[in-house]
Amino acid sequence: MTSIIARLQQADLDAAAEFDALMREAVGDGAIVTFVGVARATNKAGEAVDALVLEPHPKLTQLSLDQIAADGATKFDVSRVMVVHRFGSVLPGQPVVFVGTASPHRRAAFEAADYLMDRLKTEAMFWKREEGPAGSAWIEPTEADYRERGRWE
Amino acid sequence: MERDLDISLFGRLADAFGPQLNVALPAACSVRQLRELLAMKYPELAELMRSSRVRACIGDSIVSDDHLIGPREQVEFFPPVSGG
Repeated sequence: MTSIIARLQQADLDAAAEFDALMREAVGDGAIVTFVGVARATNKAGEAVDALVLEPHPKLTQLSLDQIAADGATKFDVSRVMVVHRFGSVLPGQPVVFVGTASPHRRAAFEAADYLMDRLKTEAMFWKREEGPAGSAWIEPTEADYRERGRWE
Repeated sequence: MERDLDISLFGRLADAFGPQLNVALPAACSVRQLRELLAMKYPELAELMRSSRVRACIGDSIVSDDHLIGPREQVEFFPPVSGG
């Protein structure tokens, strides 16, 4: 039975604390893989970004995280799946998302983490915008994001 | 018989008019017809309302454009989502 955590939070995300918790819990597993997505200080045009703002849906955002985490747990031979995702305003340099997987062997842990991020990028129910001195710009998945997601079909 | 329909808009859809709209809906209106009605009434929304990338949601489920909007249903419109 895979342990699944899918948490949506407005509070700061302490990636080191999440890693420590995963490390403590994953007793007996031979492999732990983590990924931290961090808010960028500049946009694609190289202009300064003051904050990344993620607007959630009142119900469906949590459900999307639950579904993605559960799918990762089913698809790969992992014993633990963790997804912690922020919403609201995230300052440059702060973590936006933490993904952690644990498995008896490394390959499944790597692949599950990769899969979870591809799903989150294209299906986690957030509307995301970058705010900067020049104004606000909505960020949507790129063609590359959809291609990466398609690798798992 | 017309009725008032509450519509919730998310992301960039809410830029022009905010997150809530209320429109008079004709009886037996499909999601496709609602999209067109909104596109005509709010030209700033027309391109997005006619885009297949913008999905309609009723009762927490994505619905097709053929869905006939029920008497007590509310409609939400979602532009493309992205996490991470």
